[in-house]
Order: sequence, then structure tokens, then C-alpha cells
Amino acid sequence: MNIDGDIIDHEVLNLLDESLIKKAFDTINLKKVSKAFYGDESLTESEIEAVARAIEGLEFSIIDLWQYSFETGEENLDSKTQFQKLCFKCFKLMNALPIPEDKFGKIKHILKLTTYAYLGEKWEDMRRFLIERQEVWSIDQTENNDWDDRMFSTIYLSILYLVRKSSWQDLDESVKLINSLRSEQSKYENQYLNEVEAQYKRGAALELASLYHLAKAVDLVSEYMLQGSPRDVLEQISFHFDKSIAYAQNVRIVELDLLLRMLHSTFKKMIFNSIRR
Amino acid sequence: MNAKSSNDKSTPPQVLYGRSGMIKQLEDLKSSSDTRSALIRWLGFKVYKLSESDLFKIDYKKALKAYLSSHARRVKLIGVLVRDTEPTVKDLRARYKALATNLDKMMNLELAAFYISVNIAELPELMEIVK
Repeated sequence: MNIDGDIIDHEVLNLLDESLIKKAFDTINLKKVSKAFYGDESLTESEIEAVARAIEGLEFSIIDLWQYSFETGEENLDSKTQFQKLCFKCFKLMNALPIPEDKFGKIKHILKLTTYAYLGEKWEDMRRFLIERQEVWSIDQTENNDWDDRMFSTIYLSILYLVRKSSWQDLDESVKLINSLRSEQSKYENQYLNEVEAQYKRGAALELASLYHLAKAVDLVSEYMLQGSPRDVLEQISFHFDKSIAYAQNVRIVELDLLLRMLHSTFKKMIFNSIRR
Repeated sequence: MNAKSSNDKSTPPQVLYGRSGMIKQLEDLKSSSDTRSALIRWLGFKVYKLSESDLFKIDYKKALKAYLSSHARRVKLIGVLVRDTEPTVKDLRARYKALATNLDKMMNLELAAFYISVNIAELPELMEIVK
């Protein structure tokens, strides 16, 4: 199938409607020209829908190829290349979509964008986006008192500072944010769990457990980026992601589960890209 | 597909896991293409490591083909309720009717209830899910 100029032959990809994919890329490529000449890159609702459907289709193919994301054997290098190309194509399409205005929609969108940037070997594009458009990705935490919300939002910001790393200050900020969760836990956690309706307490507690392990994984990557340790950072983050995913599965939060799987690979890629290895 | 259990003695049952019950999750799957898509991607992560001859993977790809060729509409919503109370059609009837209203013509809905003779709290141990 011709995906924006690249011929990619893959079983799941071949299930997709090629005209749908072509239309999505034609739309965003045209918008780039339109932006250059008229400063207008906005998409209509039907264009957004078409691009979103193309992304969904590409994602099914990407997931099918996920096992090759860190492949080093010669026999599967073609599959790895397909995986990387599709991740980049997905990044390109997602980057053209408007960023959701609601906080969680925005967080999910930007974290997913980060994943496809890293796995599509375009992390520097993501970094540039974070440097140039802080007003778009930043979120206000000052009046956020719900502990699960506060944790998730803080982890999100910590990850973005880790990706942006425009200076050592960004890495410091990433570590500080995770440390702030440790000091805030005693202030917010009990209150949050006490306020959750009895029937949802178990789910709320498991969701928090999942987020604690994610926070620990972010902390480990930040520490590694700053100090080059621990040396077994890959094994340690895998341990925490396995736990985090298990809790998310237990409480059946499908979207968190998906996000965790994507972030695990993103962090692995960050570590592999690091100069310290 | 969605499976829930309840040992609540009042009817209809209250479903306790997570932040929403089985019916709410089925309603979301019925009405939100994003939710359906997320669930299928989640299934994708479950099967990608399986061999191409694995029956689960074969079924997944067959279903994915049907889903994609129907513009994300051909899905079957299945809800399974497991209870340790007296069987009653009340557990599902009203909910089935509500879910079936305005259901996309390409979607299929199936709710089932299993009434078991052992205390539901002991079920995981009996099934050796919990060691």
C-alpha cells in the first residue's frame, strides 16, 4: 500500500481502505501548503474525522508489528523498518490534528504523539514542538485537588520535561515533579480515597497503584538521564510497567493500559537513545 | 465483551468494579467509536505476540477485517453477568431493552447471566485463579 509516498506491504495494513489513507495524507499535505501561503492550517470536521480514521487504521498495523520495535536480528529488519515508518506516518497525521481542549484528552493526545515520535525516529520533532509550543501542552495544576487527577497530570508534565530536555533544568524539573508527588501523597491520598463512593473504592485504589508504578518508572528514567544510573534501568522500568499494567488490567481501564504499553516502549527508546549507553 | 459478577442480594445487581458497571461500559461501546477502537487496540496488544496459526489471533484478524470493512460498525457487544442469587429475568431484561434501543443495524447485542450455586466470593479460589 502507498502510504504518503512509501510503499508498505503488511497484512493488517492491506485490510484498510487505501483511498481513506490517501485522502488523509492529501488533506494534511495540502494544509501545509495552505499554511505556508495563507497561514491557515485548520481542518474541517469531516477532514478531522478522515484523518482520525486513517490514524486508527495505521495503529492496528503498528500494534501488529509491535514485537519488532526493538528487533536487532537481520531476519526481521524489514518488519522493524515498516514499524518505524508507520509510527512516523502516524505521528505526522496526529500532529496535524487539533489538540483536544479537555485536559485528559490533551494529555492522552500529547503522550501518544510522543510515543509515535520516538518510535518513528522523529523525537527531535517532538522536542521542537515542546520547546516552541508550551502554551499548548502546559496544564494548570494549582487548583487540582483530586489525587488521581493530580498524579496523572504531574506524571504527564514530568514526562514532557524529560522529552524536552532543552537544558539540565528540564531534567531537574522532571525529577522535582515526581518528588512533589511523594510529599503530596500524605496530603491528598486519604482524602481522595475517603471521598470515593464505597462501590468504587477498590477501583480507585488499584488505579492509584497503577499510577504509582508509572511515577516510579518516570523517576528511574529521569535519574538515569541525569546520573547514568541505575545501570539496570531497563529491567527496573519493565518491572514497574508490568505492575502498572497489571493493576490497570485488574480495574479494566483500557485506555490507561494502552497508554502504559506505549509509554513503556517510549521510555525504552529514550534509554537506548541516551548517550550514556 | 464484558464480564461482571455480583453477589448483591437486591435486584437489579449493582456492579462494583472500576468506576463504571457493565451496562455503562456496554453503553459506551455502543455509542463511542473511540471506546470501541481502544478496546480493539487493547486486544491487538494481546495477540501480537501469538503465532499466526493461533486460533485467537486468526479470530482477531477475521474480526478486525469485518470491523474495518464496515467503517468501524460491525461489532458484537456481549455482556456476561455471574451471580450467586436466585435466577431472575429482571437482572437483564430492562437493561437489554435499553441497550437495544437505537442500536446500529450492523451491531449485535447479547447479554447472558450465569447463576452459580457457590458463593461468588469463593469462586476465584475454586477456579484456582487465586492461589
